[in-house]
Amino acid sequence: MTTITARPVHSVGRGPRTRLVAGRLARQALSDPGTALVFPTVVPLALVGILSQVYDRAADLPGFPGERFIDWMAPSMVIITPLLGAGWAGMSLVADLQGGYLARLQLAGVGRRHLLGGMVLFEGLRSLPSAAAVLGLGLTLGAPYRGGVAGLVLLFGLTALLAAAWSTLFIAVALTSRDRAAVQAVYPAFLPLWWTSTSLMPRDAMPGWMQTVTAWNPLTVLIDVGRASALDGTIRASSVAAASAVVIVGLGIGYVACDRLLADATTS
Amino acid sequence: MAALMRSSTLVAGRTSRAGVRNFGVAFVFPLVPAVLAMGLYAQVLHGLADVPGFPASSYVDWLVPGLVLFPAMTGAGVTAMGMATDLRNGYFDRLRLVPVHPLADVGGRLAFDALRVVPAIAGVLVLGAVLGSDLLVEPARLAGLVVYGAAWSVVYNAAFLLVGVKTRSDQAVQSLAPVFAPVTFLATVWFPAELMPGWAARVAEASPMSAVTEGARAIATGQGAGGDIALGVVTMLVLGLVLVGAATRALTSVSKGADR
Repeated sequence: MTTITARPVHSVGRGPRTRLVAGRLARQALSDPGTALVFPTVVPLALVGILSQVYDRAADLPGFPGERFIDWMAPSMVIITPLLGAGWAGMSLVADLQGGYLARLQLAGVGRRHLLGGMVLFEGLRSLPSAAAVLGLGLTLGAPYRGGVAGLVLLFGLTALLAAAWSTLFIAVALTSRDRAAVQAVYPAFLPLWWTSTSLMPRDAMPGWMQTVTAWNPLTVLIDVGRASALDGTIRASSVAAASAVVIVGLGIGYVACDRLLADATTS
Repeated sequence: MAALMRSSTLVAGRTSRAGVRNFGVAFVFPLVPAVLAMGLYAQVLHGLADVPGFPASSYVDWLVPGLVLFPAMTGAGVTAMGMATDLRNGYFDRLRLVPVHPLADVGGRLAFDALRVVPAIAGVLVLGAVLGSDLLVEPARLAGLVVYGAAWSVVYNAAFLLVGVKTRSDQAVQSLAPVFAPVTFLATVWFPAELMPGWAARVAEASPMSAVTEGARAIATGQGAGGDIALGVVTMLVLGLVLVGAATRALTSVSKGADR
């Protein structure tokens, strides 16, 4: 006979329940640091190290802003860092769905919103060490940083919010497919978003139709705000509000979609 | 020899049937990154062709030869994962009942790897032409690029096959997937070595990937005479012999180990 004991989580508030879920994910991540923390850091570090050298001469283009290519690229790579290491919570959710852990959580009084909140909170926090490492490499390679403490808060805040918002895509795929391969197949979805942003080139150096695409790319809004802060120390309230709105709306849409999918998954 | 060929053909046929059942992963995935690279990445960075000393009339022209090699790399590992699965689930135990040489198994799987990238390479060439590349006009050069890209698929996938045999792990094979990024960026696929600074230029000049890429570029442009093509072919031959040999040896020792 098996006895199942559960921590009486119904006795704690909503915030702590969310933190319990995030804490469990953090412990899982620490038990598999290679996949959860090292890989998401190594990939953007390698890209910054290699691209900044390979495309260094791009700074010779007429009208290129900044003295070196790394000046232009480094701030944007901090912001897109979470896109390069995304999907960990989604992968973990597949295992939870397959193993029946989700059903046990429901019995223990952990609701859908605590679960989702814990996952996006964890993904937001998980992105920060990698983003800090990428910023550190950029500075080491000579990229300027003039944003001060406020710029750092802005840069890392936008990065964490983007990580949380982007993670909902993987959570949604995990909930609909319950298949790790399907979750992993979503990974390259960041490529078109990255390549149609101002991450690598200023808008003026792109062909006309690409300038239009870039202007409508939500990632461009975030990158432009982070770059202005890092390069010039410029933090405009209107730009910060626009960038915050982009990621918060993205997170909200993703959260609501995942909540509905989770409701279907837990009732079926 | 005839028995080896016959066995290889049978293995290639079996691998092809498995590939057709998993059509998206085997045939479509290899094309997608190349399409994105040419359709988006090359457009965003098209201004690079204006860098003083850039040796091509457009960035797409520079990229096309390297991207012919791309499907082999971004779609690598399909047959290696199949090999890892076969090694885990007892397929090779059954195979030992019939006299199939390990080289026939490795060769058959790699033959499928060569064939499955052909549609993706053709897609790269068509997209290159649509985007205005003026390299792609002579049928003989186009055919040469397809054959060259398929040969590169054999070489590159042999490395994945080796890892699949050694580890018997899908995850280990899958973890090799991002290797294409440093391999191609630290070569002349995306940018000419002579315009790279310092260590990047030295690494790119010494990279076997650059030798293979310049061979493809020589086929596409008709420039650089036969020297670059010969160097590219020899590089692929050497790498291929080493990797196919290592994979075959590893598979042989797996079979012998199971017999003991």
